[in-house]
Amino acid sequence: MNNAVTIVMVEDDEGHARLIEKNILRAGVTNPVVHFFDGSSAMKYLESNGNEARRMLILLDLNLPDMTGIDILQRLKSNETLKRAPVIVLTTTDDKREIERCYELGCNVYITKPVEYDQFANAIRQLGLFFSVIQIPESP
Amino acid sequence: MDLTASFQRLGLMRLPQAPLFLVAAFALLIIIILSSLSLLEQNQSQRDRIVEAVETQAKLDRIVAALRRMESAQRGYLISGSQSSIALYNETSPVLARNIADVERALPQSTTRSKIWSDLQNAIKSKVAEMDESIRLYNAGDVQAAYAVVRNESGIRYMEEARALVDLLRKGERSRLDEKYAEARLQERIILGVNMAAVLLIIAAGVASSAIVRRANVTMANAQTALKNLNTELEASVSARTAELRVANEEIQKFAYIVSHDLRSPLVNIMGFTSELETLKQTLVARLAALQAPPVNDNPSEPALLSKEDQVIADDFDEALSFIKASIVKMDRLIKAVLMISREGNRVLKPEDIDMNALLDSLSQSIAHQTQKAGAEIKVDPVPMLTSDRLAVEQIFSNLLDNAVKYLSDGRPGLIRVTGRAEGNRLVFEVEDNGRGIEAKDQERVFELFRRAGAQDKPGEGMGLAHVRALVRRLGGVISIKSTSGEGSTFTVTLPRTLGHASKRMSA
Repeated sequence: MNNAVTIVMVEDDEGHARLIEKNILRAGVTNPVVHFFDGSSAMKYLESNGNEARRMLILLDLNLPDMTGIDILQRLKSNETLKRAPVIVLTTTDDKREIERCYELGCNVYITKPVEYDQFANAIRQLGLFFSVIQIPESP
Repeated sequence: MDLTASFQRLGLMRLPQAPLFLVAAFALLIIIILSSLSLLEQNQSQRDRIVEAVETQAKLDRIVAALRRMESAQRGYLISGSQSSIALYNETSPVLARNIADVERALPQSTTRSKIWSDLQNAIKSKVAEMDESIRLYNAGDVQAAYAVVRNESGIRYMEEARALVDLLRKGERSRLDEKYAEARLQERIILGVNMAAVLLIIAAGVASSAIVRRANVTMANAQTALKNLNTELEASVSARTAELRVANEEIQKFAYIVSHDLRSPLVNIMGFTSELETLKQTLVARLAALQAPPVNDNPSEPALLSKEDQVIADDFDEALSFIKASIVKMDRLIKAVLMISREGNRVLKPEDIDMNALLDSLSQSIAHQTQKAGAEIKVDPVPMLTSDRLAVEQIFSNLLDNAVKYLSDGRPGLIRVTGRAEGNRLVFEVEDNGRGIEAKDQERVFELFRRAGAQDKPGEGMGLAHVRALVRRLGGVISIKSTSGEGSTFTVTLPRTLGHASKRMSA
């Protein structure tokens, strides 16, 4: 995967974050990972780096302490530049309505924890491949 | 509020005497009408007789008239000798006879046998004889003798006698006539009276009927109002309870959500880091082995071997990890199961017409592999149609069939039979098997969540029947079990033929 892509992980549980990091590393994904433990700090980072959206991959947990993942997803997808960043929702709940809502809002993938790490790593790689092959127009 | 009590209060019980009264009134009316008709008939014949009497009087007059005509004819002949006069005389004679005969026929025997009648006959005879005599004399040429007869007062006397007697007869008839008139009038008064009575009776019956009807209507209206009030009260209390249940239900849903997030989260960590431990253990074992015995050839792919004691430690490690992993898997399944049951309680039911035969057949087909492997057979008898939530019904019977195939008896080939019948507006389905059965003391337990019974040699969390019972209840039905340990079990599922509104509203 194109090493220029930064993986932005928004996850409040340290254990979960650690597991994800370890496993994607094991799967051969060596991109830098930026970790946020709550929604507001994540949003601050993302919004200030909006023009890097093409070079970000967001891993989003829905159960954050200060705001819901749905809120974040909504804000991301309504932001002109940030909406280009692919979002993988990684969360414990498999509530059908929640899943539908996420897809409606425009997430790319919805994965329920506990995660099948092989498949997960594959998904990341595929998305990265997508990035390197497809030409994304430069934002004006 | 007791429905029977309120009906009694409204006096609905007092009505039965009314029809009796009405029947009596109508019976009396019929009697009156019949007697009235017979009276009218009598009156009619009475009137006929009156007419007869009047005619008799006229007939009597005609006798006198005929006599007088003869007298005039006789006088005329004697005076002028005209042929027309004698012709008239001769014509009138038989008329007189006829008139007399008429009257004789018309008069009652009491009169015709009386002296008056015989005197009249004599008088008439004498008069006629006198007239005949005078004519004879005239014809013989003895005109003076003829005149002498006439001048003889006897003729006049006979005439007068006849006339007087006829008068008497007339008077007699007249008084009889008057009697009859009086009788007739009395009869008419009676008829009028009877009819008036009938009219009054009709009016009374009418008034009574309308009073009865009005009272019944009032009672009915009162009953309806009472019913409506009861209904409203019932609706209100049902709404209140439903609201309470809804609140309770929502709390349970929130609970389920908490379970799915907050319980699952640590579970994810346990699972994940157990895997990490496994990986680390493998690395450690490899390194330990490498330390203990450097590779024989420089082939790194050849796994090095551990010393026996270290292998034991490695095996213990594996065993510990496997127990942890097994528990994690079980816990995950249990959480999923609880989530599923609580979510079921919230799903909106969609009633549709279900061909139960087709549904049961397809369920049997879907577990055909397991059925065959267990050496069992599923038979589905013709069952009636059901209108209910398809998903729930599928889950119920799928579960029951699964269980039946799972818990067979080793001693004999499994035979599972599904039957169904209608009882009023409920359908009763039975899933019968000849498996290992369930002991009486366990028959309630098996329906409890996470509880099982009997020999625990088949996989399962004790989930199915709890879920099945929850589903059956949701559809407005009941499930029961009849079983003899060692012989088999019959699960009876009773469902309403058509899914009602009550169960749908519970989850709204």
